[in-house]
Amino acid sequence: MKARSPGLRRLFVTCGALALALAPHLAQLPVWISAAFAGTVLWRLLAEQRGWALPPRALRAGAALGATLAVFAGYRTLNGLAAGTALLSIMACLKLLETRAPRDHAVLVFVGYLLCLATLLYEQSFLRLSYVLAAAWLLTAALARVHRPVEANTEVRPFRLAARLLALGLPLAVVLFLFVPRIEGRFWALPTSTPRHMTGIDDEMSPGDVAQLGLSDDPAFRAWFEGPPPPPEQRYWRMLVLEDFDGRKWRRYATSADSGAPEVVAGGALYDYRIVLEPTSREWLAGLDTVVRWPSGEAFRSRATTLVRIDPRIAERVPVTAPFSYSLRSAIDAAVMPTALPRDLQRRDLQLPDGRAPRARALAVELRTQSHDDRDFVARVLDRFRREAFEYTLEPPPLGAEPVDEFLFATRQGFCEHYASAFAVLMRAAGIPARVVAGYQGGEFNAYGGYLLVRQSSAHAWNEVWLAGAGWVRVDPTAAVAPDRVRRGSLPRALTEVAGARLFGDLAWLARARAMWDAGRTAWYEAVVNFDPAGQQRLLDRLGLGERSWQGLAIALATGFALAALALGAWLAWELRPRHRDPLAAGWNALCERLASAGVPRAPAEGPLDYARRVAAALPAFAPAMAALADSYVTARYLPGASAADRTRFLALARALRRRLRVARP
Amino acid sequence: MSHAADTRRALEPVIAALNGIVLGKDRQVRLALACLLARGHLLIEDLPGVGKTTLAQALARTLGLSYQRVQFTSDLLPADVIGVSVYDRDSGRFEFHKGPVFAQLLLADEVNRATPKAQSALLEAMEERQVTVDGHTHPLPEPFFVVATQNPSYQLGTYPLPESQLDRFLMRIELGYPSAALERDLLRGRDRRELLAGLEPLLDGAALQSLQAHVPKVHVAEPLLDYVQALVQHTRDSGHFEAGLSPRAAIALLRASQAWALLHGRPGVVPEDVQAVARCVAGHRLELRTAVDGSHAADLDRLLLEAVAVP
Repeated sequence: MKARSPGLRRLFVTCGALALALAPHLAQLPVWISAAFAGTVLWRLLAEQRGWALPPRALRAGAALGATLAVFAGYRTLNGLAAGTALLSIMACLKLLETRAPRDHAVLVFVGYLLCLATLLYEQSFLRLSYVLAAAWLLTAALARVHRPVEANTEVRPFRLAARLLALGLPLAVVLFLFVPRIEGRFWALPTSTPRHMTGIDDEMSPGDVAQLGLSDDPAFRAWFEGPPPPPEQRYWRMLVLEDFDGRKWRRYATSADSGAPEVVAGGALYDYRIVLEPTSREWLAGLDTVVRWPSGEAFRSRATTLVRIDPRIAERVPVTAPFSYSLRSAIDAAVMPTALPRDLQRRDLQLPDGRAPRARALAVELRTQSHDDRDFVARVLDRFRREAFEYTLEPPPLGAEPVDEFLFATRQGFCEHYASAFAVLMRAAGIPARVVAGYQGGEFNAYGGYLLVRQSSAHAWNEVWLAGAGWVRVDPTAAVAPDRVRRGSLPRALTEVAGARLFGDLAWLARARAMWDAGRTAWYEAVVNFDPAGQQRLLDRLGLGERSWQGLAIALATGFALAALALGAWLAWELRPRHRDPLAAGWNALCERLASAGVPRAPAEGPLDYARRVAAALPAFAPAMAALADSYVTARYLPGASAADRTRFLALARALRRRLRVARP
Repeated sequence: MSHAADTRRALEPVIAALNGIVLGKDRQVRLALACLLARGHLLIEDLPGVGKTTLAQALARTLGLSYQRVQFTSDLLPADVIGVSVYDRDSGRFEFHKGPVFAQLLLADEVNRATPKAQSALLEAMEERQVTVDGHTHPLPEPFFVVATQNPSYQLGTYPLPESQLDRFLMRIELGYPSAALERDLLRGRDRRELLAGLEPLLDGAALQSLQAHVPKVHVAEPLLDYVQALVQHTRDSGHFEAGLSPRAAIALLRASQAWALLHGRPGVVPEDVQAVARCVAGHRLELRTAVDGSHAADLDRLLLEAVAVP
């Protein structure tokens, strides 16, 4: 490598660290800012090498104003994460143009720290954190390099120092992380200019309009069960209920009365579990059919049999914008309190728009007359789906003006939404209250993390029908057509598993690696990123400080700080410990300490003979002993031909004198 | 009995005799002797008239060394110090006439009054312990000991010795004014010249040489080596000094410490020995970076000796 001046090297390190801090933002930043950064860094390095003059003040001021205006023009604001990051990045470029003194370097490094922080506001994955830590390490090294005299810096020394500083800061960071009071949600939720597009369940369903169903493999939620999870065919996760049908679209009713938790009357297996829902930007929550208990308090309410998240402070539904954790109990295969359906609800769930789907209605009436009761009618309709040439496909042909009739009698191709919609229409036409339920069906068990992972691709729609004496009963018409869909719990799995196996052979190892990765990621989010007030309270409970939440936090914080300081002190003491491999020196120092507490401390630079004379003068009673001791110490330590006997003699004398001093102590 | 005890017994009378001439300067007398034992040269820096010459002469007499004195002046030539080749008409050859440097103890008085050229002639002879004139090398007598005196450099008409030359001197000592009581004794007593004339040699060159041979054999324990190294390192790292001590200076410090230990009858060096000589050995080799109140010597004690812990 070419020999470079210290100034150039310093600039090089600072620019490198800054570039590293900026790199994660490149995807979000406008191209002109990235280009400006790269150009400025290159120019500034060249200027340093060639000794060019830096731009004058007026030019810099003009550039700063122009850059601010440009950012404002691009974002229509200077507030918010994206615009703020852009402004910060462009200001770092401009600062580079006047960077001469160590102070300027320090400013650049601090801009770098801010960029790191902004990076974490976008994403908190483990990989991202590792990257940010690495960037922070380099930034700290750049700072150390700037603030130490040139001759104290080798190429590696600032990096070692920075690593050590970060390591020393770690215990304090952990204490702060654990015990600084947590705020519900994300307190840093800055306005982001582009709301993230959320995949997932929509509150409208219009089977005829969707020609192709997007299949996302993103996780929808994870569920931890206290016992074994329910069998795959029972994994129906209700999310919301669609009842309002206009002949084409299914919608939910915007307003409806609260309802309490249903009462289990008989049978069924109970499951207790905790769900961590990925952000949906919707307020409704997933729960295993049938949820019979949700957390007390006001955080949950069941509206129109849909579980929603309520913010108790404003008594309003709040969308789930950050991973949200809640515990539920569900009963499967249970008979739920069969009360009569209120009249208004009954009317709602029997409603069909006038004149729509005439052929379906006719079919329903015909089948109903052949059946001896409602249950038989349901069985007949399912049987019809099973027997006739209905096909399950993710790419159904689009449907025209009368989607239900066209699907039932012409195309006969569709996915769950088509079947659920058609089934509900048939039921209502036959006088059976019916509704569409949207949610998820399935979930893969992750053995490494011990949870069920439900992906967006498991989104599903099915029906509930009101049967006299039994209440609402779940019916999944899709299962009649494509049993695999239900057994495998996911659309793509059902359709592609066979093809995939043929293509790649045994993919078990890939699946295992995927499960492992997801388990690690989940553990990280569970333990660190989603460490919320509840988690903090659990931690305090475990520490026995649970009853007094605020004082508890203060106590834990203070204790944590004290412990961290203690650990730091212990480390320093260990680092700076006097290293006496020599028992003679150890004996001598022990004696000197004893004499120091007797009022005659030895100056560090004081030789043994001088010290002995001083001790003899200060403590005449010990004068002869001290003289003999110093003599023996010098003989054993400094004079030629010192034997083991000399050493033993000194150590014995030192012990004796120490004892005498202890006894004589006032 | 050890060499150390022998040495002490041999030198105690010398010290006593010297103290009889140079009153109240026991420490400086011992340092001068230690310097001589360590085969080093001595620089005495002080005002005229405090007894520099007397000390040098007394040393020469008591130790039984041949003595020469050169008064350094601004017109002194190198030949005046080392000698000159003169054509001898009788033999028809050039004959070397030895200069005053061919003495066992050379007193170079007011060495900083001479021009650098004359100074360097002497200093080269000190270092090489031989003189080369016209291609002929003439070894200097053994033992060879130079006592140079120097007026404080703020006096007029001086050519201060450059640092590289100062390094040739093992020690630099200052004599200082005598105390009031001793000064009265001095006034009341006989003339120093008479006293000097009455001094009997207590040793001779050969005896001194054998004593000098013992110095490098004085035991140096590991922790003491650590201590010397730590002191030297401190002059390099602490930032109080313009430049740290060189490895040569470190060796000088160790030799001087060994000589001091020998002089006091110790077969091994103790930290106090190092501390006793450190100021004289290091003082003229170090320049303080910032002027601190108080004397140079006090600063050196504070910034060097008190700053480095005894291992």
